[in-house]
Amino acid sequence: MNDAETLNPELLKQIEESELDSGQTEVMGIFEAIVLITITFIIFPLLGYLTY
Amino acid sequence: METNLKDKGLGSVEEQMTTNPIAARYRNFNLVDFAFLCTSFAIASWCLLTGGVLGTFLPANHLMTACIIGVCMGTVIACFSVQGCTKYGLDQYVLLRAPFGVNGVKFPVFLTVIVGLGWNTIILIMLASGCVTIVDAVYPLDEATKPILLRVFGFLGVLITFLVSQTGPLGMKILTRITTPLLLFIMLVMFYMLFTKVGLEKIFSTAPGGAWLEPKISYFIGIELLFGLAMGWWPFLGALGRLANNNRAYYWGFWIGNGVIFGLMAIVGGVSGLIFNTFNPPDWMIPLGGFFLGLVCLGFLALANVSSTVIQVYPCAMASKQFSFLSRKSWKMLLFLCCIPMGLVVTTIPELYYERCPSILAFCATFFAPMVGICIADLVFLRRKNMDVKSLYDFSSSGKFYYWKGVNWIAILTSVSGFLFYMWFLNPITLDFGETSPFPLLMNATVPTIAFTCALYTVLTKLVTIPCRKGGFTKN
Repeated sequence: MNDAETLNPELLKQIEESELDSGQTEVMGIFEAIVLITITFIIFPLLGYLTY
Repeated sequence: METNLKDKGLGSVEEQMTTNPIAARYRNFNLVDFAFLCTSFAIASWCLLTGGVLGTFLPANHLMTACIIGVCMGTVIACFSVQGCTKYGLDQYVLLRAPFGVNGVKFPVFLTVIVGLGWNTIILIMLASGCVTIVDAVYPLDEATKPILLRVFGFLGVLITFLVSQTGPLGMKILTRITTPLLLFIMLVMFYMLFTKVGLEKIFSTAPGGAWLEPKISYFIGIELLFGLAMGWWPFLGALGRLANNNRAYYWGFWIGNGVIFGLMAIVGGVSGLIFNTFNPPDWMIPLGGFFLGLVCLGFLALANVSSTVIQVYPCAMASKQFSFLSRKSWKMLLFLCCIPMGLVVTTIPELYYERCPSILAFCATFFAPMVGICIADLVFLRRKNMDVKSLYDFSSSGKFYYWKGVNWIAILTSVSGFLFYMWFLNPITLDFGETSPFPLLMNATVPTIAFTCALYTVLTKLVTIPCRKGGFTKN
């Protein structure tokens, strides 16, 4: 095991901070996700089909 | 970013190489910054090489769409599997302790190092090939000297990679700042040359030199190889993704940089590969750009190749820290160990190895598509994106991710089944599609493999792991 990965107070503090901040990182909404999925999995393959 | 890390005592290169989580407040890469970072990572010599591989068997219209479709779809799926890295600021191989176990994580680490160094070796041979072409253009060489010079330049490439990668992220940052604009310059020059010297009519009417008999098979192999390349991003997504300050930056950043921009750049290499019927960029740069411009571009490409190998060696050395016998080694020693296999290949069998470039792409998907499936099942579906971060660092036998002596054998079994399943659809060495495939009309191997491993892992976890009270699933 890595020294840095023993559960020392510094690591515990960083883990706590990381868990505390995790809620802030999920900012992408459903609409945005739908846009990304539509472009990637519907529009691009459709273009591929049309150019075939 | 550097100031914040220094405040936390993460200032030096060695300290930045730790696998501790980085809280969101210490990450300053917003969408724009992260898209630039991903673009710097994606725009490398492998754009030209990958596109060139497709150019040897696809006509221009198929090539253009295959480049975009394959890499964008693959990147989004791969990102989906390890989004926890951004959520908690975790290194990918720390996060992977959840599905694979605190000791079992060495399995994906081993595959990452193998594929990463394998791909790096290709880039180094391309670097050596470019240098030989430059020397040959200035002082014509006889055929017997070229292989010797190829090996000498290859060895020098390994040496330079070893020396430059010791500078860590700072060196990478400086290198990418220099090489990304240079590569963009090469792309624009080659793009201009293609349109002025070759012309649209010839581009769209040129038949590829090595197409499969059935155009549809060629097209789907092209998409599959780009899927393979996107799966090849997977081992490195976490190392970069933990720097993004939210999941919007993470998804769109990778989609823009590693997806769309990479695809566009690959098209330049692809069209050139199609016109000159070779996937090796040094072979077409002088014929396309002319003597002087071709030489300048080859020089820039050589520098870009060094940058690409440094970027790739960093996560390989980082990943190798997961092995206990390597975790205490110095950063320099880890880099040295990573450079040994590359040095051996480039000085012994460079020509044979370089010819197998398409297979390396297919092997990326063979190895990593099952990993993506397992991560989606475990981290997204079964744990519903909630991770007990503390347990990821708990190596005791009572730890949640200790499983059976530190290894989740269900994940290992599923991975091996996934490799075999992939090869049932597509042989990565011969690239035979259709004949061995159980569903000849379904001409994709990556997506079925991801779906298969995702389903298999979920079923086995519910039947075996959860009843055995392993993996900390009960609390979720």
